[in-house]
Amino acid sequence: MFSVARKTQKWVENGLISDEQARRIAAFEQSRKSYLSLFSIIMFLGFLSIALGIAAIVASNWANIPDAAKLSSMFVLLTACAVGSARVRRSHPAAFTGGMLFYAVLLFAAIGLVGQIYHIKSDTYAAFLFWSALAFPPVLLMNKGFAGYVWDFIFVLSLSCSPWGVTFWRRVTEWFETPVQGSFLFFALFFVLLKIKGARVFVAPLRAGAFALCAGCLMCDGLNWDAGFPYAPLAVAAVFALFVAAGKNDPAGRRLLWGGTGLYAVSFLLPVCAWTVYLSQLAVLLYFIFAAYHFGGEKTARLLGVLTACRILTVWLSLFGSLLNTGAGLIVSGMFILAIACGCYKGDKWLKKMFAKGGVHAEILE
Amino acid sequence: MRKFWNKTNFLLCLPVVVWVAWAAAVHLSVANGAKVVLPVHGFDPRDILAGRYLAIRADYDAFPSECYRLTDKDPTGAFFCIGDDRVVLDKSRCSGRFITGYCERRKHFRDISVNRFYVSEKSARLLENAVNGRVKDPRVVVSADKNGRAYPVDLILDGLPYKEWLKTVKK
Repeated sequence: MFSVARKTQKWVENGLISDEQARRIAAFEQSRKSYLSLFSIIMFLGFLSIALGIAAIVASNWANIPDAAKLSSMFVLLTACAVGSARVRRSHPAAFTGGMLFYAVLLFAAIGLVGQIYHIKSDTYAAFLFWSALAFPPVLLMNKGFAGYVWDFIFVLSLSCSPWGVTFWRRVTEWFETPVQGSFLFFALFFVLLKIKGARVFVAPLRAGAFALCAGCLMCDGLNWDAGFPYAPLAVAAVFALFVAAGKNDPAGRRLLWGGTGLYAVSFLLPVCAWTVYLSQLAVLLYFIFAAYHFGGEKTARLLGVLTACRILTVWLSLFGSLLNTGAGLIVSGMFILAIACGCYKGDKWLKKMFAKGGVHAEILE
Repeated sequence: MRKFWNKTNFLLCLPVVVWVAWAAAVHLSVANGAKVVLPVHGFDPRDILAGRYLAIRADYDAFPSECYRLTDKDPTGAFFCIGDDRVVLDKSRCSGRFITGYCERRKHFRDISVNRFYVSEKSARLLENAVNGRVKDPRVVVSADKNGRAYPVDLILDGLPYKEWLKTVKK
């Protein structure tokens, strides 16, 4: 409270707000319910102690509790959690979020309980996939970004570890001749996800993941000479073009989309060798930096700048190898790194100036 | 009633309903499954997770098996016929229920669903020694559903269910 009074006083002194506004801010802050009071902390400790005591008694007698009682108790707990959360949904949103988190964790324990009682052998991925299906409604209702990220991470990871996921990833690495082609797949996926407006809590992390994989592929070396004719990138390009033709894009998004697609298309036309792949990767990364600045995603642009610098450095290190361990090599390397840092700084300044009026579509890349 | 079944309440109830349906389906599979007693032995004791479950493997080597008929090109899938007490390569040749598995190195039949038996932490070490030592004639009672999935139901040591066997040992 004192900090609010101090802050508002400073703002008044600097002419940012009036006396009346400062008083109203202070009154508003004073009227707000604080969840972190001494009373609430003591109450929390009391509940925690009771819960730990119950858990200890149940755990020490676990073998003697009949299976039916274990299953019934789990059913009662799940139902109570669902009903209790539904009751406080409108009046106490924070309690509802906590309830949904507990519900999601409880569902995992419920799966484990059935597995333990009936001695079920199951692959880990299957248990997590089943949990993903059960926890989908609570995470959807919670509508919190962090829960969406956790859910998406567990779902994608367990799906990737499943036999279908393993086959998919093997195909991705087998079919694509260069990492740039793999990057294009995730670029296309990013734009497809960009068009989905509903279920933001699940779609936003997937979109971020698609873009991370798109950029990640641009950081990889390696060529797959056994891939043969590049059917896979052509198929992705065809599906992508159909998708773009069928959908209605906003003009800014379309510019970004066609710019990137064009760059990828040019890179596919180049003869495949380590240097063309590397230059294509750099070109696409630099394009992403431009695009990020254009749409006001400054943080994303800086992160991509760091990635680009790292990509340049890795090639520099692999080119000169052990020569860099010598004194002269270290000095030259240091100068090279300083030049990259200087280039990043200048480029950042220049781009910021150039796109000073950007920021309309910041949410696309952030 | 109409007021209760809004979208939120439906979404909140859905996981509980699915979990109950799954638990009921597993229970019915176990209860209605064909029971068979199989010799068992422990494997790779490092798999025992803090004594919470025993890593077990049913031993089918004593039964007649067609695994030796497999060639390198054949799929390794095989089936243990309950009642006939033999391992066949084609499940249609079983007269009743069967347990799905595969042939390991064209010799040993391995099922795909029996590998753990949950026990209390207090008795885990004793049971682990009994199962791995094989001197107590360890056997597992499994219940097989119509799809060939087997669920361990009980552990038999010296001809007694393991809970009773533990009581005799404690005496």
